[in-house]
Amino acid sequence: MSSHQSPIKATAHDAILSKLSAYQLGYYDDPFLPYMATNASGLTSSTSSNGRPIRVFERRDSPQVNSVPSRSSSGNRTNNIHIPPSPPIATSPRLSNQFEVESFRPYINSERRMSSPHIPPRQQDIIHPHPFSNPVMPKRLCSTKRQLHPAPHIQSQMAQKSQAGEMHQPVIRRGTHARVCVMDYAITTFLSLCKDANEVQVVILGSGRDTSYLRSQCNLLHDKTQQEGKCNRIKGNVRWYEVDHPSMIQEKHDLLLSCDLFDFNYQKVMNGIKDESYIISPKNIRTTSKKDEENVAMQGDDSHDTGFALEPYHLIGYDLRNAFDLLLKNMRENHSFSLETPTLFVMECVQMYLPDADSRRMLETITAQCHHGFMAIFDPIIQHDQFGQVMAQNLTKAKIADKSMSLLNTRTLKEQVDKLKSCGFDHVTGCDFYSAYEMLLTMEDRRRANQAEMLDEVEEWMLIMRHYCFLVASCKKNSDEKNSDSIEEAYCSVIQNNPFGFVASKCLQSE
Amino acid sequence: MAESEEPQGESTSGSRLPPTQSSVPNAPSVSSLSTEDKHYSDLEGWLSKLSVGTPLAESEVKLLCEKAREVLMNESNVQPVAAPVTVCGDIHGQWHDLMELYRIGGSAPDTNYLFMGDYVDRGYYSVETVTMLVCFKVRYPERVHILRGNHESRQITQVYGFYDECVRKYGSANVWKLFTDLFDYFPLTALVENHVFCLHGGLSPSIDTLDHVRQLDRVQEVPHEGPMCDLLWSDPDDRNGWGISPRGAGFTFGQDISEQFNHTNGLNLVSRAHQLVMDGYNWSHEMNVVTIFSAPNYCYRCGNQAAIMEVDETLNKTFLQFDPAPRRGEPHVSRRTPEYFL
Repeated sequence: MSSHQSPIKATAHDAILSKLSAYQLGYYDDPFLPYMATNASGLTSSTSSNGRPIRVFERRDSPQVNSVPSRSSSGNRTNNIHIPPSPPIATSPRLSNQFEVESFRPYINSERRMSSPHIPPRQQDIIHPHPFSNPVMPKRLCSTKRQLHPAPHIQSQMAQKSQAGEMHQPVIRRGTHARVCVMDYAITTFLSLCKDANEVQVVILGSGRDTSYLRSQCNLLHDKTQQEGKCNRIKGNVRWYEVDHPSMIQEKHDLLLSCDLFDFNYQKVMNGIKDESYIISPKNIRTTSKKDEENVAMQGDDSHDTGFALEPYHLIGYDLRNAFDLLLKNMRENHSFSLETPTLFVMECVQMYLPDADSRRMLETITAQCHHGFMAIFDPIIQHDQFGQVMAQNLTKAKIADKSMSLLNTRTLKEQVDKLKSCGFDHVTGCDFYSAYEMLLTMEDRRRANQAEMLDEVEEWMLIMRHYCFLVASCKKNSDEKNSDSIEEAYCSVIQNNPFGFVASKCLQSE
Repeated sequence: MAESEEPQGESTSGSRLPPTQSSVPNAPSVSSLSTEDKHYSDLEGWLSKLSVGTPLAESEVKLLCEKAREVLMNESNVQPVAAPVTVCGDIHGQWHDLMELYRIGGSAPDTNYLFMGDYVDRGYYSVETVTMLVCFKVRYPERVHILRGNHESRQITQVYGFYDECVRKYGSANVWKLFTDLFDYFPLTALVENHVFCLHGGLSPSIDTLDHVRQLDRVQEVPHEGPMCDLLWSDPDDRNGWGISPRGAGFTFGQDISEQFNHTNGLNLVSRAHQLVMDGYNWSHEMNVVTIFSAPNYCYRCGNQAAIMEVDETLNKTFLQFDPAPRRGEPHVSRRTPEYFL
């Protein structure tokens, strides 16, 4: 066990800021992001004192709020919230016969325009030997008018934007959106597989300012298991946990208090002197602020009626570099955690920062103690190529990475898979994140991204995505049951009709 | 943040770029000698500022763009270029690396240059980069050629950084407006000794012959579709025929298309830029197409090498690869960390 005083460099802010940026451009819906990004200041960008003003192209005259207000005053902050209109979703049919091409295409959907004035008639004939049976011309650059055809008043706001803080790059937004979708699938697929279980647990390790819990309570998690819009799980049987450095948990608790979309009671639990934890009993979650509810009502109510008892939520302050069994012990004693209950552990850009030895001990503890342990990981695989070397240099220079970290010690997909296997997981499946995008993202999620903005930097995007991976793993403690068909096996399956949509040839599996 | 990105004094690189006083036989004829003197002294003064990374004043940019417009408006959509010439791909605001490029390839006007577009966006020094290239173009109009890339556009520059950089460095969008108005005049393609067709992106299903290119009305914003758009956006692909581009504009074109185009027009090579290639250059379509990318460690993140292509009088091609320029004094400068998923 290592003893560490300082928190790992707070990249939680970078994560929330890139998600905020993707949300602002319309990649996906997360009304909680503007709240959770308040006062965030990351490596590459920051919000102003109130995270919300940096809504692209929307002028705000809201007062700056420098400190988190008390619960009683939180209602005053609602005036800052603007839920963006959902971008229009393309309705034209997909190209059915070109998975590879279809899988990555910023703009597909406008009807083909055959009569360009520039094209002499015989030139058009040339287009017919097109590789696609029913060719659809790419929707042109004008797809995002707000982005590419800014009106003069918007241009002035863009100037304002550039003074307020750097925007993220389109490659980062697109990848962040894919990351959110895939990690959401990891949770919703797990919940769907466990729909018959009396209770299940989801533990977000190194949660930072993550909004998965809040979105899960409003049906806003990306879900591949939904059929005809119906969520394929029985609600109310999940206990949610977020674990992070005590300073981060304190920050998260304060952010939740300031979020007027979420009403809750809480109970503080002390584990030792510093490690504060909270048991949160939700009372009400909305997706629109009270202030805006009148507007919403006029436009048609799009608030989400959860229709089931809100699920309990635990915030646990703990340094993950410390012994993991102590964390589990504390969770069992103080937070109703059960080792027998099927439990999904989620690590989204978390393992990379942990000393390699500590991350192995963590994984070993999970496989040794949890009767039905599941793992979903999003992590870099920097490999040994030029891109990876530059990434290692840049992150080391920014004092994010050091030699002990998993980032620099588990560098390839195979090493990631082998690590999980050697730590005791029975089933492990992994793929690089470009493959994850190709295989796993639904047409709807992809279309939404294509609608959000164009992407010129195709090669760079593929390069970055191939240096991250998605991993799922599972283990069952009771060896007697190991041979039977199980949700553990199903979770990591790559055979046909597997729940994630893995394609065997694009995945790496243990054994 | 912005401060740390400002150009650091780079006296070594500056000294490599002699503010040459050599006579320029091909300079535009100017009626009055004193006006001509003023013309050259302005340009030399600006070049010496730019060669140490100092941006021009807004009024100087305005004057420069007026001069450049006069030169560029007389160029053809298929601008003839004489060999020898050194052909370069994307620069993307990586001004330090442009200085390195000159070190590797030789300084203008001793070396003739043909740049195939994408001078702005992404890197932190788009203003310095594009100002410098335009300045060279005006100073040595027969020896330096600058084509239009898909980023030389009002729309793209608002997304990918040039607009923001202009506002940050000049306090207004005026300089952005001056340059993007000028971009409309940049030639779309060039033809080296009638055999090497150079352009930013690639071929278009609407264009069979070079005469089709010559007929285009290029003085406009890059359209969203059509032949002019395709020339700046298309990419070669392994699949034959025309394909939908993953970029959302232009097309992909296969080897059959390249072969037919080269054959029809008596060409032996299509030279283009537009795509990141890790070695800085990449042959494709059985040497009917070459991709050149001249921004090393693109976006300070990709780890790629850059390259330029020297074409000699007999049209032999030699590639010179280079790595990022050593940043003088960089240990003291904390450049912004490139974005990753963290």
